[in-house]
Amino acid sequence: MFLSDQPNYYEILEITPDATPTEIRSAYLKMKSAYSKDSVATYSLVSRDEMDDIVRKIEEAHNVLSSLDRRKEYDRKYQLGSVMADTLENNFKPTETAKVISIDRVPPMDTNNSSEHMLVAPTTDFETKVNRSPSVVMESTIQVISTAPTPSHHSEKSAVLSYGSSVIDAANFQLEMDRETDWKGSFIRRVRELKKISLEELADYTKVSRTYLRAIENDEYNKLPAPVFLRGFLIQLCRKLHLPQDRVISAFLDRYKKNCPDKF
Amino acid sequence: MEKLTEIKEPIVGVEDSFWKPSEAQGSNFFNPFENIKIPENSRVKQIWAVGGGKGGVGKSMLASSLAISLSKTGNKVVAIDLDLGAANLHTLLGLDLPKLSLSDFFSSRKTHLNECISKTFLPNLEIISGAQDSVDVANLEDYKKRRVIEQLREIDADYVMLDLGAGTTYHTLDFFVYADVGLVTLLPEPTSIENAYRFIKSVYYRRLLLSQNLTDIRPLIMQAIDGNPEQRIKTPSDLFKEVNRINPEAAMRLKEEIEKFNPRLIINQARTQSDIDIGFSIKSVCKKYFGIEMDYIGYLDHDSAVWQAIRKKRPISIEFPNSRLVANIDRMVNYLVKSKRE
Repeated sequence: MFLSDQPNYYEILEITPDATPTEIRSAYLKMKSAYSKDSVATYSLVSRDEMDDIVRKIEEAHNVLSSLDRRKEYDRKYQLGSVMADTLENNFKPTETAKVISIDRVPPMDTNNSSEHMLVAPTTDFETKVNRSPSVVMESTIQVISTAPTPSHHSEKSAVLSYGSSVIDAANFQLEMDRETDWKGSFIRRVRELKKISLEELADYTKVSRTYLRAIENDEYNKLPAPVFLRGFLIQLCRKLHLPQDRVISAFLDRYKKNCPDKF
Repeated sequence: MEKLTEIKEPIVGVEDSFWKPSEAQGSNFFNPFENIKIPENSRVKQIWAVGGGKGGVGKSMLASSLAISLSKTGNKVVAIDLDLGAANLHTLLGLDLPKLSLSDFFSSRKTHLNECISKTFLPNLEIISGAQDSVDVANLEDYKKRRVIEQLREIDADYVMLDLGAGTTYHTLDFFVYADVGLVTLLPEPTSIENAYRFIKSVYYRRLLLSQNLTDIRPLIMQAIDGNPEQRIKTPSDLFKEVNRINPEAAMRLKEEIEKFNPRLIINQARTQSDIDIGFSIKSVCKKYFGIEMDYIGYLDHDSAVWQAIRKKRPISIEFPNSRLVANIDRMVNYLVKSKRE
């Protein structure tokens, strides 16, 4: 594992990204016993400090992978990180682009440039692409949604409630996203809230300050930075939220240009 | 007495034989693999080597048993006893000291390894016995070692099995490095594990140092081998990070070289389930410490059949063909032969 700077949690536990919870559990127990204080397997080779470090990483990995929610979140993050490369991303935590690769199936040395070997856990409902023929009921639901007033300063909970998240299932929402053309900040916020990602988490992932993220979501163009930076922010944002990057950026920047022509 | 001062290599059995930095940086750095050619019409499919660092962990027993098992699959096998100072592979194969041995080769009475082969009682198995008559044969000169390495793939056999000695002398390491399949055997106890790690570490660094792809980072590898606590590079991880910092391209090459090293692990004399599990732990430790993919191919039960067979000077595979131990050996051989084909 020392051959990559940032081994992912699966690599630490020496399992594949499609491991079942049972496999994760048994791998964790195996690791714990290998690096326990009275293990002979580390005798004379691994120092006390190195042991502590490894045990800490094992605990961290298990903590995330043992929880279904946290694991989904983690998987999504890595899946996104490998989708595209951009010159701007150097400003934003390049380590996030590490691919999630099955260590058992793919020889580690073959992992360069081989995106077809990328093995990640199943995606969540939100990302599942299904060929849908919208029913009448669904159509009407969407009508209701898209005519609903844009919220300005809702708390997370009320925002979700006001859009009736219990009514909108993932499929409907996907349809709605496919039809979206404006990509206003408010819509982006809705996506974020439906995916239950807090502003803090988003800021953490994108390395964009909360002030800017809030400005994006509130469509406060005068608070936004120069277009070249904004574009970078949006790329990161789209990655995290699984949004169609090109459409979001062109729509958003267009509106930005109309509102603040002096910045262009 | 003068002769002793000429010996540049440590005596077999001395555990601590890492190079001092000055030795490898000079122009007289001896690379036993330089320009070694694989003969085009070589019959040899694979060279297997059994090592393990510590004495008495079952290297010769395993080498002989694997050789017998392999010969039963219809492949012609030649087992070579390279435990030069303490040869006894022939005894484990149930033979008296053969007339021909490596001594004939080293003393130039015979010019080719093929001329030193002795028959065994099994049709598909032959042996090149270890040298016996010359007392200082353990201190093999470099050019003689090179002659052996050159001829290994000219041997008239499908598989060549090398039984290596204990310790981490260059001879032992070099034969292990040159082999296609390196088997490390150890007992589930701290002394054996300590020596096995020492052995793996020695082979690991020896491989890197002799690699033609890594000549430019040799000084850094030397630092890692030196293991001086005051220096920056103490572990394989330090070495990789430092190389990566200085030259990412060289780090790629280093990574490639490291990942080519796939020793196989066998736990011998396992008594409990936790003994068996140690193999998995060692595999994981090696992965995390060295960055190598170690294949834990199996374990052998602690079985009194072994000493009974050895007392009778009969191979265990012949004396107790239906034992669980022999079944395990057959399974490992099948696995190794199959994994080669894929």
